[in-house]
Amino acid sequence: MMRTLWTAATGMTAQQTNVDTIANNLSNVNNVGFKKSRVLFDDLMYQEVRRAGAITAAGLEHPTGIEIGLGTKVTAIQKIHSQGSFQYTGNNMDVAIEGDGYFQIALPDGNIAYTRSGAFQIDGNGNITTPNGYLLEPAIVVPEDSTEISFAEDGTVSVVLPGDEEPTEIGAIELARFINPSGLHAMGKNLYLVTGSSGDPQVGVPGEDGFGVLAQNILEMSNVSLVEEMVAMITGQRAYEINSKAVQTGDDMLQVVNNLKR
Amino acid sequence: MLNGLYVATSGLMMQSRRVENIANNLANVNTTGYKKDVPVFTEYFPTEKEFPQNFIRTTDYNKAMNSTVKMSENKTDFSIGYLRETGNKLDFALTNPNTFFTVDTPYGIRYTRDGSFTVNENNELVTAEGYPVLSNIDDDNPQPIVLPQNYTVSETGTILVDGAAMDQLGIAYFESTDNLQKVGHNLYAAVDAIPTQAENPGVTAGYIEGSNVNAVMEMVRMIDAMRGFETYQKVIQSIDSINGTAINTVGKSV
Repeated sequence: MMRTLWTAATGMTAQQTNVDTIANNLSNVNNVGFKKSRVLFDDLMYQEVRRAGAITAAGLEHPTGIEIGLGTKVTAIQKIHSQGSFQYTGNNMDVAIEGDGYFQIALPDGNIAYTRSGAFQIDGNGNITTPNGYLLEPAIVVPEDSTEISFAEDGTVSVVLPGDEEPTEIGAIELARFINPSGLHAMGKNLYLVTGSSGDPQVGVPGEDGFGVLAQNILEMSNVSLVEEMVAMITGQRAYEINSKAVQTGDDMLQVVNNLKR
Repeated sequence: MLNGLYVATSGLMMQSRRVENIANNLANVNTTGYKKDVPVFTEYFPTEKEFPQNFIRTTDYNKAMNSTVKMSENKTDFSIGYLRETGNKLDFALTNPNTFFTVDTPYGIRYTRDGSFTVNENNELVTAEGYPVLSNIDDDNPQPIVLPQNYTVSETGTILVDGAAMDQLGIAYFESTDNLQKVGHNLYAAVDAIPTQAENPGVTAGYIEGSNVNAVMEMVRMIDAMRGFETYQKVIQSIDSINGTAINTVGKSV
């Protein structure tokens, strides 16, 4: 009977994590380049009261055993790296990746982080940076007096210098790709870090070898679907409720036991 | 006189087992590929064959008085759960209830209905726990599946690139699911059963199979078990008060 309480409690805990994750997805619904997460559950181990195949008193084998399950747990919170929707912004520093790949960002500690958010800015020294001020890798410096910056599909960045008619190439954006993007570690600020399970980054030119192409004036929005999240939230809440009812029932039964002796 | 107490106690135990079981089904109401358990109870009836020396238990009167209830098995209901579209190309559902994905674990080959897969750093198809999904199980030496570029998966589980078969999802077919034993982590172990490669598993990519727990039915069963539990409490209290009367009132000098 105490088992009921603990089993139902695992259900409540798991659903709480589920709703926590949904809340995070919903709060990032307008976050540029955000990738949603989903929670995966497993059943826990089983307490074996009688093993299948045990011999009965009559000399026969029990075809099935008696196993009582002990609840559920969260196995994985998986990032779904599907493409988000595109939004035309008209801002010429906004770049989206159509297809596979991540922008590379240099962190102050020397490591490289990866992002799908292409809302770039130019800092006081002319560096192309993220909104948080982290430099794009490889670094691209925009000359002070240039006009009309443009990002080509293949990553080439060019500007028009005063007096020139033809644009001048000032650098190129390279993309990185992972065999298992779900294994990336989300560090916040829309940035991801390499882990053992993501595999090493493969760096390449946009549009080649399966890399996506760049699109200027466009931002990739989050891939959170409000309808899906709302439905997941409703089912998560109800699952939480029904597990709390199981806790109540276990408690009521304990009370019944206490009342056995009058 | 005390016999009745033990009979009623076995009833209490039965209802408590039921609630434990229902609690596990409810805890897994959102678990991918979970199959609900239904406990089966039988009357426990000591027979002459089991207890040849025990004269008391072989008399008709005592047979009736000693019959209690016991849990005889916890049967897993393998009916199919609802299929939910996820749009994730690494999610697979099986529409044939007798088929299972074959998974290599450190403890041996296990089977699962949970098709929410991912890839590892070697580009092998793995479960959320990181266990590799195996290829065609009729092979003597099934291997983990390395996903090629731009693949599609057919309904039979064949992995195709430009229409050419490259690999095969190892999908096990069991004639009878009675031999499968739950081991946790959404996995089953086959006890005395050798599966064959499924010919018609009905693989559906982009979908996952939810649990087949019906929350309403479980709720009703839980109320039923709870009230049954209360009933046995009343039975025990009645027997106890009869005993109290017998001990304290009968033979009392007037």
